[in-house]
Amino acid sequence: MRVVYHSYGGSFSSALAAGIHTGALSRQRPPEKKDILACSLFHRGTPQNHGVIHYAGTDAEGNEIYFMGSRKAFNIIENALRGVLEIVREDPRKLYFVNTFPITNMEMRVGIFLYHRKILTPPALALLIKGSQKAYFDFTALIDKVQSDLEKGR
Amino acid sequence: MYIIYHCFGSAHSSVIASAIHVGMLPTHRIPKTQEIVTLPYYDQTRREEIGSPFYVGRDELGIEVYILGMANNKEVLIKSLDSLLKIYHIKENQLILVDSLSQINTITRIGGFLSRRLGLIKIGRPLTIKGVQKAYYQFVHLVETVKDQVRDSSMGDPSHSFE
Repeated sequence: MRVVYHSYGGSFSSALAAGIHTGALSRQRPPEKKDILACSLFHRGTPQNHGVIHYAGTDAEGNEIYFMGSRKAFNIIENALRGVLEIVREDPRKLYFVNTFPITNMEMRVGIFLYHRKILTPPALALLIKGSQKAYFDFTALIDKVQSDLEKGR
Repeated sequence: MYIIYHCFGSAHSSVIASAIHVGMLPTHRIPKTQEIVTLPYYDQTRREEIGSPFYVGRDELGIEVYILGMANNKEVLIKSLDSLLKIYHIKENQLILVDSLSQINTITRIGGFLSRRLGLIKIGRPLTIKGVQKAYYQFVHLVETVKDQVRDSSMGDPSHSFE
């Protein structure tokens, strides 16, 4: 199976989810600021590469984990990706999409908004990290659910 | 090899271009209203169907031709399709994306907006057909360019065979 986590910009919440899923970030405790800054999965999404599907790694079961920025066009993108997979005779059910935007909290949303517009960058980053630490166990719960879905789909 | 003609809503320009490609419409004369309006998918695609590719037919070389509506997300969508092909190890020249929206004129645009967005089919549809007839040879030209490209790329790749 291939799992694609997607969010608006593909630089933070989807990267965080992909990082937890691949094991790059610990599930037991929220990451420190330095863990997030050191993790190569973040800061990959820029407005120029929205739509590009980034590879994050494989999980313990051998599923390939990806993440992407889909702007607000995710329904169209999902239709098109699955449709094209059918065209090239691949199984569209082997691609599993997870939207990470609904579990982000207000701090994260404001932080992402400011950070990407390069307004108040250091406080925005601090807000973003604080928000993601607060929402961290929502993320791990989401990934547990994804993994149990993958287990069922096997 | 697969060819996808894409435009805004896969309702007008991509339908015309793909129909010319597979031989449903003539290349040497302008088609009559009846010929255009009876094309599959012509002025039919609903808003929620944007993004799903539709099969049109095979051309004389056996290549499958599809249409796809991308709305305003052309750049994002093309990038994600490129990534998808890389992930599945499919050669880039196996899937050809052709933008047919560039051939469309204002009359078809307005007609398409009236018919598809506002649901005023009686006014919109004849307008789209008028626009298509006016710019018809541009579509023929686009399809000829695509066919030339396909021939060139398939000649350079001897492993590829058309069934």
